[in-house]
Amino acid sequence: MLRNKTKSEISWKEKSSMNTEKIRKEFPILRRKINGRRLVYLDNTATTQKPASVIEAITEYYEHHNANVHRGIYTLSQEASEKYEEAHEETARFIGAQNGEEIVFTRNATESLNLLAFTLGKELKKGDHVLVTLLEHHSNLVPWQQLKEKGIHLDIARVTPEGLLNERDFEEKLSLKPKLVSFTAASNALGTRLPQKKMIKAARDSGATTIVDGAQAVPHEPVNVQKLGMDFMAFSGHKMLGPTGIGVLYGKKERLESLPPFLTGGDMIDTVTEEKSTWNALPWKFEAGTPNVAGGIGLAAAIKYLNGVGMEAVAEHEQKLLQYATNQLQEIPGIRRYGPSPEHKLGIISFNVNGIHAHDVASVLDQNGVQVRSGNHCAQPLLNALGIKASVRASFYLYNDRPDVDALVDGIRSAQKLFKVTP
Amino acid sequence: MNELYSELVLDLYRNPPNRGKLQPHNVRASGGNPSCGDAVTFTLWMENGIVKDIKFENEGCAISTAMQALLTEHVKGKPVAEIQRITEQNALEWLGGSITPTRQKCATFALKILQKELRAVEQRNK
Repeated sequence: MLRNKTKSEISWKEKSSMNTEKIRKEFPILRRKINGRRLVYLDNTATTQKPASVIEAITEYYEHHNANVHRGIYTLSQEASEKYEEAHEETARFIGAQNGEEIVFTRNATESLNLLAFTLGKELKKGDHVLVTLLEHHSNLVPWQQLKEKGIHLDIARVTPEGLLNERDFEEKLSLKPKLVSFTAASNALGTRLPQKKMIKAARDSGATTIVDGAQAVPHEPVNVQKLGMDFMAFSGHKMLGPTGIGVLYGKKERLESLPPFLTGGDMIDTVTEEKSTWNALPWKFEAGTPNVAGGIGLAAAIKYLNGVGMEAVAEHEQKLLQYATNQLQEIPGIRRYGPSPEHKLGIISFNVNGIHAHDVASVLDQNGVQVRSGNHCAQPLLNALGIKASVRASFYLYNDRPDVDALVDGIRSAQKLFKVTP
Repeated sequence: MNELYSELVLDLYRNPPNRGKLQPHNVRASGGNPSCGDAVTFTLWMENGIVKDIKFENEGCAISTAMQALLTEHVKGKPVAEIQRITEQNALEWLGGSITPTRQKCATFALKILQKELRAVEQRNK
């Protein structure tokens, strides 16, 4: 962490912004054309592109070290195991966890949250409360809804009309003494950042176990779990330059130790008799079966890449781009933007163009090489509360630059021209 | 010339024929495409297994609106058996056949909703 901080401090002071041109060259996919145009990838909330170093790390693993982990005493298995274990350590350092014992590799943030709903859910009793917010992705809502069958009450803290968390409502629902409080660090649909530290403290003070869905935060800003103090956090590798199929569950060691296992079978056991079994040490107790070794190694390479740039620099770059994009979009008549002002958001802009459906805007943008998401962004209750069925969403990452924003603006204008809705 | 948004699609989107609620009606078919929030309601007047008149109300993109308007034009005056024979491919061809794969569901979901309701009506009348 220290090394990482120094680097980003240098970039902050000396350059004040990242070398986006250099970064863009390190992502092979950005060389390709879409419909004859420069690829402008603005769906980073959904998934991110991969730098050559990540692709090479995965290839290198399969070409030189591939073996099953924790099983063989031979050279290859030892190498694969070491790399896979080191990936846990790298991830732990990245988010400020104590060590790799607190890092469970899953498929994605969704699986991490389901693991928690299943295991923590076992401890809940009829009449207990669970508190989430209306800003959740379906993955931090639906798993908790399943507990209603057990007689669990699911409370949902409301949002303000501009799409911020209604903090008073959150506090009121905390007074119902929920056993679990699970919330997203930032909304994937609007970009709204939640006051994590304050919420975690308030929830802990009221006696709740705290869970943060970090899927949108961890890739885009510095996160330190020990400073924030949550009990658990979930995030996905593919949203932070890593491969698909690898996700993370962070848990405080003592909390992970006290949880029952989720999936059972190979590697997660210590001893097995015909009648019963005992569990392996952390984090392997939660990683049943042959794990995604290449995925873990790819994630570690992605983290190394992000550390090289510095997470403060990433956050600063995206905030600047968001400010620029917000200003540019304000120049276009007939745009409705959703969510709060840039200083309360990550680099996400959610909007609609008057007179054109979100899907049609996205199709015309695609014809211009601009890749954006349109729809409900896996957050149907939030969009319903805002009174919209669908929106267009553009989301930024470290390789996006001002020409990308300009292409978005040009694309919106050509959609307005095509649909003859220019005022 | 825009491949996806032909003049036909754009004209139908801006001025869709048969839009509204048919009063009176004796059949109502309603549904949506939850993945994108599109929704449609058809109101029909049926006599002796023939669609005498039909209108539609909707919320949706240009592709789905254009298709729903075309669908009402195509089924008006037709017997149910003939309407049931319309395939998704037929419908895509009405639009000129240049609908990209990611947008085909926008174009075809309304046809399925209408055919399903007409099947249910037939079952009830048996």
